[in-house]
Amino acid sequence: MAGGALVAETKNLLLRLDPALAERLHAVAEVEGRTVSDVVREAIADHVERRQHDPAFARLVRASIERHSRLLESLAEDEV
Amino acid sequence: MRKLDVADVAALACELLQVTPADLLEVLDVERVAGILASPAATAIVPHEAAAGLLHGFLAHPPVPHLGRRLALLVAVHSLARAGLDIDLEPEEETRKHLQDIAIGAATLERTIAWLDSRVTTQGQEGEMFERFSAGARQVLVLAQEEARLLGHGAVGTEHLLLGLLHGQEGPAAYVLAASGISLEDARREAAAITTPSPAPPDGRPFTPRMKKVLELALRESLQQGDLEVGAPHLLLGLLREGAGVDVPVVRTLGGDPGGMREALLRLIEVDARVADQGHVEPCPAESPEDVEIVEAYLAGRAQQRRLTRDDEVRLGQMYEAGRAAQAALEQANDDVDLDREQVQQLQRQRDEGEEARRILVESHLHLSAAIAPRYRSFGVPMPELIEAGNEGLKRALEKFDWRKGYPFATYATWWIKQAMTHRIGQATRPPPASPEPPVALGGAPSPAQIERILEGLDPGELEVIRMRFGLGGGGVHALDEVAAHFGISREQVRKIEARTMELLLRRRPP
Repeated sequence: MAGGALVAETKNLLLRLDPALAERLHAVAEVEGRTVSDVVREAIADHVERRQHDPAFARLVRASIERHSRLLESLAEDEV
Repeated sequence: MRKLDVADVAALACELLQVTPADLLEVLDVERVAGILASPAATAIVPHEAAAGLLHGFLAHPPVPHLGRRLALLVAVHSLARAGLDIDLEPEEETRKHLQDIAIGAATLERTIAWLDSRVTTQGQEGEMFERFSAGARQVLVLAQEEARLLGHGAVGTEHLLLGLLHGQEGPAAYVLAASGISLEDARREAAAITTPSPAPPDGRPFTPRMKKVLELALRESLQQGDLEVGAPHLLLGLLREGAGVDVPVVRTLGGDPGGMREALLRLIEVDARVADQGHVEPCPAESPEDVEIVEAYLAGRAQQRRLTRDDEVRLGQMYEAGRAAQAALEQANDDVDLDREQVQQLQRQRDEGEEARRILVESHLHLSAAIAPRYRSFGVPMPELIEAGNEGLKRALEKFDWRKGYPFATYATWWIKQAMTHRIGQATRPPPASPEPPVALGGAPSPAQIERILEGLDPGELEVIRMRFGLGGGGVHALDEVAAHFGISREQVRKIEARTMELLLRRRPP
């Protein structure tokens, strides 16, 4: 299924973490030479990816998309 | 089950757009997704209501550009699939139109809920469905199988499900069935009459299509009530709702009232849930008197029946029978048989044990009279009289009870209670007796002192009314009219106080 044009825009999030976790986050960012935001983004992406590959989740989603594929395709036309 | 969370929605969006999570996060409004997921509409307990809330939330505030409708639909479908539900979205055009209406604010949430409700069905896999069945419900299905086997039927149908349910001992389903007066024996005879024996296929007895439909309905009943498991009460609800089934005519032929049973069941399921939550139930004032009576009787029975298993009943039945034999032997001994002292003592002990067994059996089923009486209310016989008649029937049931047959005593007792009540109604059409009789309590009339103690629960005014009516503390029995005139209240008010007192008497009988 083709994706629509993704318009990237950034948004500032205020993240409240307990001090120990915040410190580990800073340490990881420093060691890897990246920004804290970058590491957080990666952590969230990683979390989503693990969900995607969860067998039960993947099975249900595949079945749902297959079951309603025609409808989903026609809906894509409604959202240009 | 784990709640639907932001990661689920993000993963669904990734699937739809075929992008990586990292790319998606560039454009996904995570806070918006979190807000929709936490909204009251999206967190409704009933799956299709929650799905409607999700559709509205995601269509009104799409968290990803150019993906609003597909994502909204997939999230809703996914949330239903997680609950074991499938949705039929054909014809496509109608669904597109409805989603369009939601997006432009032309469809209300209620309309969407109704729209989904008509389209949601249980997912096909039987194995998955049974994972949602409670241990009790599974046992009912096993018993249904066994009943089909005993009757020589090749498939398990709704009539066997009813039989399985009739084996139940406690809980709302067993209670409602017992109160309806349908006995296992009668239902079995009906099942044998309506279904012809046929050989079972080598790989086991399948469920009939109607039975499958009932199981599906049971699942939907449980979901609608926000119950995580399908229990025996939901199976009975499914059975009562499957109007075209063999079952409901069976229920009717056997003297049950499907509509009334359904209502009573729903109330009792709620009571059970509230008891589990809070440890007690306080009937709210808006409930009808019938409701309150049903619930109170059920709770009274619930507390006592819990202790009486089928084995208990058999044991008590044996004790009662031995007690009666001992009593007969003792009477005979007085006349012409010589017994030594030890034999006499043993017989006396047996007689006393039998008496105790009788008391336990009767007391743990007293609630049945109170539960059945409201149904005969319209015949003009006052409730206390009906309950009294019912209790006489209960005593008679015990005399006739044969523990060897293996049926729950409640089933048997219900029949005799109804019998006694209809008999009393028949009598009531003749000229009434000159004065009211004080109620006959079971196991011999309680002494005036016992009655006074029981009546402590009444307020002082009510107590005076009852004293005068039944001549407690001397003064003789007075008619309703006389009591009403004396206290300056209506006849109906006196009757109500009397009825309430009878219930107190039934519930608080001294040990």
